Amino acid sequence: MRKLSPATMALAALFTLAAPPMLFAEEKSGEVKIDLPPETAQLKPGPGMDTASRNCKTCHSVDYIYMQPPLTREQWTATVMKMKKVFGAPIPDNDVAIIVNYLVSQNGKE
Amino acid sequence: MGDHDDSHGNCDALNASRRKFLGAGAALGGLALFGRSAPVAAVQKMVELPMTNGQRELVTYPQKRELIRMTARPVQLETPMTVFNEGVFTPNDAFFVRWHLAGMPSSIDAGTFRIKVHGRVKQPISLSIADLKNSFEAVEIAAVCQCAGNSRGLFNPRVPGGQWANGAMGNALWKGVRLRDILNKAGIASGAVQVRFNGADRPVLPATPDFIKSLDMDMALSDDVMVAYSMNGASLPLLNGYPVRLVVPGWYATYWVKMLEDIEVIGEVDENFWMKPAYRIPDNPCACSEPGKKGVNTVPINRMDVRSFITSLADGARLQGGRSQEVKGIAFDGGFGIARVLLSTDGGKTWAETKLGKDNGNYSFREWRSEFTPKAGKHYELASIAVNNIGESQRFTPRWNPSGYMRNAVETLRVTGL
Ligand code: HEC
Repeated sequence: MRKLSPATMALAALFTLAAPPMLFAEEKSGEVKIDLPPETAQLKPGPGMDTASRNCKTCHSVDYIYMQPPLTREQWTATVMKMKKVFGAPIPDNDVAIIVNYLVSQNGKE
Repeated sequence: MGDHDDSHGNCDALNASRRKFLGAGAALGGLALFGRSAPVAAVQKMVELPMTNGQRELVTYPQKRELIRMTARPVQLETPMTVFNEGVFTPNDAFFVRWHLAGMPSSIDAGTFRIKVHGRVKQPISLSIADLKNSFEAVEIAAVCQCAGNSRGLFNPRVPGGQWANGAMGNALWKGVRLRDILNKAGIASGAVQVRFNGADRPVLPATPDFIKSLDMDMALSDDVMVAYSMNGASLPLLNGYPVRLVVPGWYATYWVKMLEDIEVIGEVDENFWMKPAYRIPDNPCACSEPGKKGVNTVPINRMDVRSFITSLADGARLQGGRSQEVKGIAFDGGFGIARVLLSTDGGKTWAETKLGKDNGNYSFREWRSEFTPKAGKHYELASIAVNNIGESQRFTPRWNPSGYMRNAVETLRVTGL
C-alpha cells in the first residue's frame, strides 16, 4: 500500500535533491515519499556510555536525553524505569544503575 | 507581572540576532555532527531557545522550510516565532511537527490508502480518499493546532518531556469531512461509549504502546470535528499526517491523529497508555498541581485555554526612540473566540486595548495590533493579555503541573529605545 514505483521514487529523489520540497510528484499520483535528514545527536563519552548506547538508541534519537533540563538522580531513574516498564525497553536489570549514573553525569543535577 | 525571571515570558524562540552559527564538529550541549549518509552541510545552523539545554539545530525537512529541530527520530520540529508574524495562517511548510513513535511511514500512497470504520457500528466500512472527497459533504474550518506541551520548556520548575518553546502551534484552514457523517454512514450501534483513532505510525518495538487516542461520543459527534484531507488549500505535508488527519477544533493536538487509518467505535472508556496515564491534567479548575504532590485526580486533557503572543518584536529588540512602533500579535482560545487583547508596555502596570484583525472564526488565530513610541534610553516590558468571549483570560502566574501542559501565562518581552 505504501510501495512506490521505481519511476516515482526516482522522480521523488530527484526533486528532493534539486527542488524546493513543495514540488513533490504527489498531486498527480497521490504518492509521497520523503527522505529524512540525518540524525546528528550522539552520546558523549563517559563511564557507562556503551551501556547507554546499547539500551537507549533503539526507539528514538539521543537528543531526547540532551534536550531535557538537568534532572535529579531520582528523575533519571524514573525515566529509565519508564522506558523499561511502560515502553517495553529490554533493559537488563544490571544495566539500570550504570545507565542512571551515566545520565546523571551527562545531564544531571543535585 | 511580578514573577518573571529570565527563563520566563520569553517570546523569543528565534531572535535572529541570537542565532549561532557553528562549524561542523563543534559539540554543543551534546549535539555533535557526524556524516551518516551524504556529507552533512559544512555549517550547522543553531538557535538557542530561552531555556537551559535550549540549543537546537535548524534543519530543512522535505516539504518544509528551515525549522527548529527538537528531536530527529521520531521527528519533532518547532516553528520559529517570526513565522507567526507573517499572517494568521501558518504556511504548511512552516507548520510544527510532532510524532511520538519512530515507526512513522516515510512514504504514503493516497491512491490505495484506506480508513477503516469498525467496532460498535451497524456496517463496518472502508473509505478511500476519493470516497471522502466524492461521497461526503465537504466542510472547511480555520483552527489552531497546538501541542498540549507547547511551551513546556518555560515551566518553572522544569519538567521532563518535549522541551518546546512557544512554537509547537499553528493555524490552518482545514478542509475535509465531518467525523459525524462518516460515523453515521457506518451507523452507530448500541453501547457506543467512545471513538478510538489510530494512525499509520507504529512503535519501533512491539512492546511499546501504539499511539491511539479516543474521544467521548458527544465530542466525536459534535459539529466541528472532521477528517481533513486539505490544509491551507493543499494536501497535508507528509510530516503533518498526509493523506488525512483528524481535526478537533479547540482541543489540543494530541487528539488530531495523523495518517488516520482506523476509526473504532468502542463500548468502554479507552484506558490505553496515551489516554491514561499520558496526556492527563489535574482534575481541578486550574489544571494545577505542585512539585512532589501525589495522588492528584486527573482527567484527559481537552480544550485549549486562551493565549496571546507578540509576534512583531523579539525579546531584546532595540527600537528607534521617538518614533511610533507597530506592535502586532496573535491570540486564540479553545473555541469561544477572542473578545479583547490588551497590551502593556510597563510590565503589566497599565493596559491598553488593541485593535483586533479579521475574524476567521472562533477556532482561528486572531490578529491584533497596537502602537507605542519608545523613548531613547528607556527600557520597556511588553506584554499582551487576551480575553475570550466567555470572559476567560490568560494567567499572570504560570500554572504548574507535572506533565508541563497548558501553559498560558502572560508572556513578557523586553525592548529598549535607542
Ligand atoms: C522501547 C523503546 C524505547 C527505548 C529502548 C528507550 N525509550 Fe525513551 N522513550 C520511548 C518513547 C515511546 C518515548 C515517548 C516519545 C514521545 O512521546 O515523543 C520516550 C521518551 C523518552 C524521553 C522523554 C521524556 C519522557 O519521559 O517521555 C527520555 C528522556 C527518554 N525517552 C530517555 C531514554 C533513555 C535514557 C533510554 C535508555 C535507557 C531510552 N529512552 C530508551 C521509548 C523508548
